[in-house]
Amino acid sequence: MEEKKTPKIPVWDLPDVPKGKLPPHLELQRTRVLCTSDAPTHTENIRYSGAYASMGVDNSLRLGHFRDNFRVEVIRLTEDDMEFDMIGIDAALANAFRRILIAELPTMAIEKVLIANNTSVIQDEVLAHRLGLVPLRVDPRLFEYMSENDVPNEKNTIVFKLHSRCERGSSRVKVLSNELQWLPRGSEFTLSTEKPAADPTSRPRTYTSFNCSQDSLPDFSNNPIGPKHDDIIIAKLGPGQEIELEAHAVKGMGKTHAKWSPVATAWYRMLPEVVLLQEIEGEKAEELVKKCPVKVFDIEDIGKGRKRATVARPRSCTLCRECIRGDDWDKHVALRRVKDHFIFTIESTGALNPEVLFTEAVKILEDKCERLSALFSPHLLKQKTESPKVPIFVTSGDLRIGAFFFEIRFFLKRLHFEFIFILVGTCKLLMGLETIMIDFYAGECQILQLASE
Amino acid sequence: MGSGELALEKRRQQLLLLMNFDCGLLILLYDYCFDNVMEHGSYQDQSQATFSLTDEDHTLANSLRFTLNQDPRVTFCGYSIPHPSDARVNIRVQTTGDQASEVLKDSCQDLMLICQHVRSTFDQAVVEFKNKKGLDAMNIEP
Repeated sequence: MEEKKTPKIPVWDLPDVPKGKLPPHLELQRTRVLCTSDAPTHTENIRYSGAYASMGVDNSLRLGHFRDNFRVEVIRLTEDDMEFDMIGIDAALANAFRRILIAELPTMAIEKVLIANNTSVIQDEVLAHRLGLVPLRVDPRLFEYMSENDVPNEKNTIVFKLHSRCERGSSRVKVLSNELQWLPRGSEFTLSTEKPAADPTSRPRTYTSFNCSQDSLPDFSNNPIGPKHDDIIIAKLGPGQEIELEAHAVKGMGKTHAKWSPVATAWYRMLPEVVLLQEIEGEKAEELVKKCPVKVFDIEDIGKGRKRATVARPRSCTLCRECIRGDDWDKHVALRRVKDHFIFTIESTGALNPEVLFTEAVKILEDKCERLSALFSPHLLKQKTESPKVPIFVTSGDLRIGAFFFEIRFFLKRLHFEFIFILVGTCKLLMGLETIMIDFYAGECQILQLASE
Repeated sequence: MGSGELALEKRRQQLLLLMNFDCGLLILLYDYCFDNVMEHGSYQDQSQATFSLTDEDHTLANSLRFTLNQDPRVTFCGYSIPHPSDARVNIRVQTTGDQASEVLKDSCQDLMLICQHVRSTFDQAVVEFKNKKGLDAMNIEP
């Protein structure tokens, strides 16, 4: 049997790897996910600073390098959604932005529903849930969070009224979101504890305590608050049925409940890269064009009636891998994803424009970092390294323990610890002594546990 | 467990000294608690510590791991979420000798700078797009 021989090349005849640059195969593995017919490979991002140290390539974070390479290209931008390319950033950050967009950007949503009357077929709780999911057209940055003990006021609550009925003898009606009527002066329902006012001029106390009307505020005077869409069906009423309620919207975040998520979805995909490894001509080219369900490939005339396949629309590739299935197609076509090129899509629910949402999301990540790094400011670090005074009472021990602790004392002195100990009783087990846990309490200490094997 | 016992247990977890006599080494561990961050480290070797952040998740931890890993002073870093129902994440940092908290602080600031650049680049791209769209809408014949 004849063996297939590969020509042997002496090691000193191999080409030199250029200094400061990765060899092409490693560069490919670093920057691309290779989508082979069975599974994608090289999906991980290599982030360790010394990963390529042996090749003289620095993989550490260079902000200058990042600044030079980072690009954003807006593809589509409307009031409700946007698509943009984010190039030269790691998946960790792209994903952080996506997660913040979905779960940590605040919006206003209906949280409390006070139902005065509901004779419709929809149960109160289902109705309240449906109302919660109605997107509101209001900038959440103008409002404050309402914590448990807060009184609902004009800064943290938006009140809507809904009163709809279907007259007897008429046909069924739909209750649409445009029937939610904004009450800028707050709730109109008086508290059940409130007695009929003796003084008719004083306003009875209601479920909210607004100091002023919201429509007198400059932000809302020309821009009344309401649902983003007017045609969301909230309920259907049969003849004689009626719904009367008040809905209170508060500020919240998507991680508490999805109704507060400012995006319908926010997602990204890495840019697909389709590479023809060999020239594909004639019938094979026709076959390739037919194989692709999303029409990535085109046929190009190269004269003399010869036809060649080209990659015309790599962006629309879904990486279904249909084109590398069967025979040895994977030797002709390579499917890859560019690891640092993200096609990011944001669909806003309407509270804020998508481009504002993204900017706010980046700001939130910035705030997180700032808060964390502020904790490690110098004066706090100093506080930490100051030695605590540690008097120790050994509840049981003998002379050998005493000698042992004497050593510890010297050791701790070197570390600037004040260390006092008092021996009480005796302890027979010493040799296997492994850990001593000491509990600090009001400047005093006790050995809580003498762990021994 | 009574409430007093529980409080004691909590305190014990908050601040405890642990001494290891076995290999002739005495290691003093400290837990430094501040706001929502707890630092578990040792007095002798401040080059390694675990930072326990409450009310944080993958969003911050994974981004920090990204910047920390790219810091040449870091020999190891990783994070874990001990239990999915606790809003807590532990970030482990081991360095070549620098104080771990200093290195973490620096990578926080790196991340902040990255974010600032992302924001300004994004805003600029949006403005450019809007200008271009404005011109297109005007339908000026060349």
